[in-house]
Amino acid sequence: MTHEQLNNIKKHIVEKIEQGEVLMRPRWHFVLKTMLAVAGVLLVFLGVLYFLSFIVFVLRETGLWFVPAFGLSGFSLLLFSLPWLLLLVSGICFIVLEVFVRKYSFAYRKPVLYSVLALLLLVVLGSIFLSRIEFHERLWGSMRERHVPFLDSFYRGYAMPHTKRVHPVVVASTTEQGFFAVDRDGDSVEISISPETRLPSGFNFNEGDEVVIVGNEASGSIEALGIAPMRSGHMPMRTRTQRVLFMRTR
Amino acid sequence: MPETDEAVALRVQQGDKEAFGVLVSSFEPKISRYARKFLRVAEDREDIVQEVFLKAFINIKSFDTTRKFSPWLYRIAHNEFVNALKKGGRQPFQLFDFDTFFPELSTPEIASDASERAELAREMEACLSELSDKYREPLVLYHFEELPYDAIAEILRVPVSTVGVRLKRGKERLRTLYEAKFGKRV
Repeated sequence: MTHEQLNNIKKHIVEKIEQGEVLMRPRWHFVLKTMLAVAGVLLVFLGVLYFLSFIVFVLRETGLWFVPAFGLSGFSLLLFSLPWLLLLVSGICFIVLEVFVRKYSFAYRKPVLYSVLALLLLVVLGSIFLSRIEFHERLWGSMRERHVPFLDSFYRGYAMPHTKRVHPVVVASTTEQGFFAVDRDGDSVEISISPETRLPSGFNFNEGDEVVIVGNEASGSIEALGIAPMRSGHMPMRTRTQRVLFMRTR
Repeated sequence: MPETDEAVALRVQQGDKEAFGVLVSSFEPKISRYARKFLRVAEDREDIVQEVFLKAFINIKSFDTTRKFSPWLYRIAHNEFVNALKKGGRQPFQLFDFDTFFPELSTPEIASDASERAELAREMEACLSELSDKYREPLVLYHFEELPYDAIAEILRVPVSTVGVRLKRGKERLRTLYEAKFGKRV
């Protein structure tokens, strides 16, 4: 670029400024833009938090959260029953959030891995917090009371058991071969326990216990392949001998 | 004592439009050289440089006068140049740059000696245009614009360690291109 060309550029710029063809944007424009960007980041973050905690809520409500206690078969059952659409939406929201956050100096000055891990930590901690305060349980409860049209069916569609092999139930009364339980629809089901049934060690059924049964249902009765408690986390599974002894004592 | 760029920018923000001419005078040669080295093709280069300064004037009130003015202006230039390359179909769309994904050991900023600089200048003149944008830009900013790593990192919005890695890889690629083109080792 010659000296003359450089002078031309300067002349054109100064002319355009002097003639008012270009105007400075006011400071409030940038303040508003920043505020909107921050609100956008916050909104997407809350969206990720909502979807992720909702997935955990759905898995707990349907009993799928507890099936990995049954080993490899439990894991494959969980894998095939995961709400993949919700996971996809959460994943997309997370990527959008990361792209937004990378525009800020505190993020782009560090490797992407760091901001991804920091966001993951925030989202996981937020989800744990929402789970602790039973956010989705309360929300669904209030929606059922008020009959909110779309959200009620959304929660019902995801939170009601949707695999025929996993049954979240409440123990109603114990019998010689197992126990009677009440399912999520309020129907009574008979649970049969055999020596092949996988049970957590040290677990005794009491009335009112929430348990998840893995097994096929046929005319109001379920041959339990596995039983796990729903609220007290994972317990180590009994050995075959322990299971037989447990069955004899019942 | 001459007035700093930041002080001039503050005057422009306060309404002294003529002061913007001072900034144009001092940065026009630098931004034009950056455009010449980075954009490769000559078409529209003058218009793009003009656009950089007009955008700088329009957005001057977003500039934080407690920070350095040159990285802010170079960032606007970078955006304009990248957009020009995209329009010309010479820049592939990239959501994430994998160079910035994992933490890398930082490459210390070492001043090259005179012979190395001369050698590199020869290679750059001959092969710079054949180098990909990703490596060409930090080389231009470091060797022609003489900007420090942290300023380049701010302009490209990448970690400082990534600047070091790109400069190192850029030099290596430049050397390979030079050897392939002229058949001699440097």
